[in-house]
Amino acid sequence: MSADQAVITIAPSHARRLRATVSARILVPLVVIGILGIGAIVVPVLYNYDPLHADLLVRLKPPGTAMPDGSIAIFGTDKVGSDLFAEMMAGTRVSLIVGASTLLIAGIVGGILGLLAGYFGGWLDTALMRIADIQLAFPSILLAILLVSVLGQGILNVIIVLSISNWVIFARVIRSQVLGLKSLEYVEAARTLGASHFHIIFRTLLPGCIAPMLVIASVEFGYVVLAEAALSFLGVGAPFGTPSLGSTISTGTQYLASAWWISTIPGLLLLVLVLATGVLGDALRDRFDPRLRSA
Amino acid sequence: MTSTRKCWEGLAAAVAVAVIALTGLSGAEAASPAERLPDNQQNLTFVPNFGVPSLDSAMVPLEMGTNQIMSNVLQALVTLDKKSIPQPQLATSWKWTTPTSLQFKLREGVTFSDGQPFTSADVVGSFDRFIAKKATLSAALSIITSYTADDPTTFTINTSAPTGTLLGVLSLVKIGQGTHSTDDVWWGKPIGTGPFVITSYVANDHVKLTRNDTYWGEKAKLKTLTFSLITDTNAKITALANGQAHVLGDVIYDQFPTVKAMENVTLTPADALTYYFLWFNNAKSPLTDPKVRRAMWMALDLPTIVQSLYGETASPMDSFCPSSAFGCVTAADMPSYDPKGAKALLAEAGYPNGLTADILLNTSNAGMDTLVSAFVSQWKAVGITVKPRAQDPTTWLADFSAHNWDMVVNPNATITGDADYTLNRLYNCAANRLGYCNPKLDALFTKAQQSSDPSERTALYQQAVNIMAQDAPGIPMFQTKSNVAALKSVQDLSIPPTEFIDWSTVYLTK
Repeated sequence: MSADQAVITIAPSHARRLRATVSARILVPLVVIGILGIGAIVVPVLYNYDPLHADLLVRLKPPGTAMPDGSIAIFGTDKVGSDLFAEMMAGTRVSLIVGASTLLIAGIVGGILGLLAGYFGGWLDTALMRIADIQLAFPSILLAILLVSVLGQGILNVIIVLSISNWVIFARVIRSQVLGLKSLEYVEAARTLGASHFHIIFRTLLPGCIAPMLVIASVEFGYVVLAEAALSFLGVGAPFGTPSLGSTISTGTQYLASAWWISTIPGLLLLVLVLATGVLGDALRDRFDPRLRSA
Repeated sequence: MTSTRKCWEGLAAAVAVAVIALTGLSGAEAASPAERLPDNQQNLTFVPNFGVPSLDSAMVPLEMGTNQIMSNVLQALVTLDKKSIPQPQLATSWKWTTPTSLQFKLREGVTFSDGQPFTSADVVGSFDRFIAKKATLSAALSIITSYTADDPTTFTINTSAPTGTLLGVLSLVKIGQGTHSTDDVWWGKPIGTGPFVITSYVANDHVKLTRNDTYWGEKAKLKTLTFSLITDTNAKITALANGQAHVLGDVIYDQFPTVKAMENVTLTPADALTYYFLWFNNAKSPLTDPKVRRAMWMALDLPTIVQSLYGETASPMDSFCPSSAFGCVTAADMPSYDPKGAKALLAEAGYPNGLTADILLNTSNAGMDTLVSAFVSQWKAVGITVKPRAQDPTTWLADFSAHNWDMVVNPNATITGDADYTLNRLYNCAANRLGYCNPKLDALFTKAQQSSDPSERTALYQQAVNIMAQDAPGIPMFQTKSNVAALKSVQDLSIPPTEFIDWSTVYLTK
């Protein structure tokens, strides 16, 4: 009797605790990303940030320096005398835009191809998945560098390049999801009732794929932001005149001994951003797709 | 009494001992400077600040990196001294026998590092190659109509017109073995008459030289000399810090605090022939108007920009080529910083509301982006909107050659040490490098080139640069020093303006 009671009382509290940690793991990264998002929109406007503005008299000033206009450069200034905080936030804006646009394009293209491959199977499935295999076998950052060297520098090109190297993940996951859903009763029912392919794919299969798509999108977001920063760091991403965390970190490496803040602070910001999206993706997976949960 | 005398004696003795000790000490210090390392440890590594596309001097005669290495392996008839005046090298003397024929007396007893004696046939063979390759030096060599080996130690050059600038150009014509004049493989790793011999060359990695033990002059003190081709700024500094490299070819100004903090390193700024220019596309409206060009120049506070970005390593220019070169005299009435005047001049030229233009820059030139940002900010202040176009070297070169730009910034070097090399090569009408043409200037350039009287030439270049300061076809922005950082164990290192260091005198101490 007492044993039964114990089981009854412990089980709900365990589940609550689990839900609570999942909620915290979703909430905290969301708040971090939210703050960065608002900062990325507001700060460059407040600071009247111009990536091409140079004020050479205040270049390479350490964090906390009072500027001639009376403001305080809380994170110091860079090699042309730009306020590093405003520059980082403008860079974050580019990172977030690249991340969101890339996932949107890669998600739509990869999602549709995954749905078609999973639903129709046959030669279409074989062809698409072999292309995906080939692409997955190739290191994605090398592929991105190759493509961007052909297309040239520019934010739009970075988005295109990263979309090309990211559609595969979406296509693979959605395909496997569709293969599982295809034989479920409600899909069978729709088919028996004579629903068209279009209806089955977009009205019955797609809704079942939304949760895994969101999970992948949040996991991949960090990767895309990092890839954009890597391309800009290597000088093939954001062009001159477009702020980017990667190019700021890259120029700062020349000054590591004399002006450590130029590389270090944007580097930490990038770390926080990528970590937040990673934790969020993990937590979302636990929430929406518990079968994938590890441990 | 006795005690007083003893006291005095004692004092005198003490003073004597102290004097002996002090003189002895200072004598000992003067007599033994840091001890020279034994010969098998005389191995020096230098990190040059230029790339090395090839070791074939005839293919890339103007490449700084190639010349820096090859000037220690191959020699020319003449070499430039610290004041860019030609001095004997493989030729011992020369004279103009007629206004258009220059006769060289060649050095006797010189052998190549493989033992083969050097003769005038080698000079003829090398000239054959330099002229046949039609490389970047071809325009400067086009004045030569013929050349002959009169006897094994006499060599004569005939020119189409009198010229006073040929000797500087000849300092870049390196002499190899005459029988190999068409052999590209041989010239890729040639045998010369210089103090060093090439032992290995790995492209984009290193070039290793060893001492030429049969050298005709004073033999090199270093046993081996390695040019380590490191491009990353931080990697260069690290190499110097951990002793991997002994000398760095150039340290950028922003790295000065780091290098100066190293106890065992000396940093020596030396005058160089390198300068940075901004060109206007003189054939493209609205930059066809000299008023607009002058206004754009006046909008820039070059002294402040140069001081902030380059400190003592660069100085604003007062002529169109670096002052360390012959004939680069101060131009009268060069535009200077005057934003109000710039606005007024723009209004006078018909652009009271400013204008828009683009500026082309090459991403491989470190620090150009910072410079251009500073310019763009200052132009903006007078109402001129300038859009920077940063391009990789290949795209840059294509656009640059096609005149696909309103403005362009780039470094350049007057490596013959003569104004003719920069002014006549770049700004004459036929060159059409920036859509600029002034026939009056062409006449002055030709006259200055044909004269061999230095004072007459200086006067002609004075007139030329005065005209250019009015026309403002471009802006000579600043000339740089080469800032060589060397470990204190490196002795007798001297940096000529050409930056082609003669390593034969250098040695290492403990």
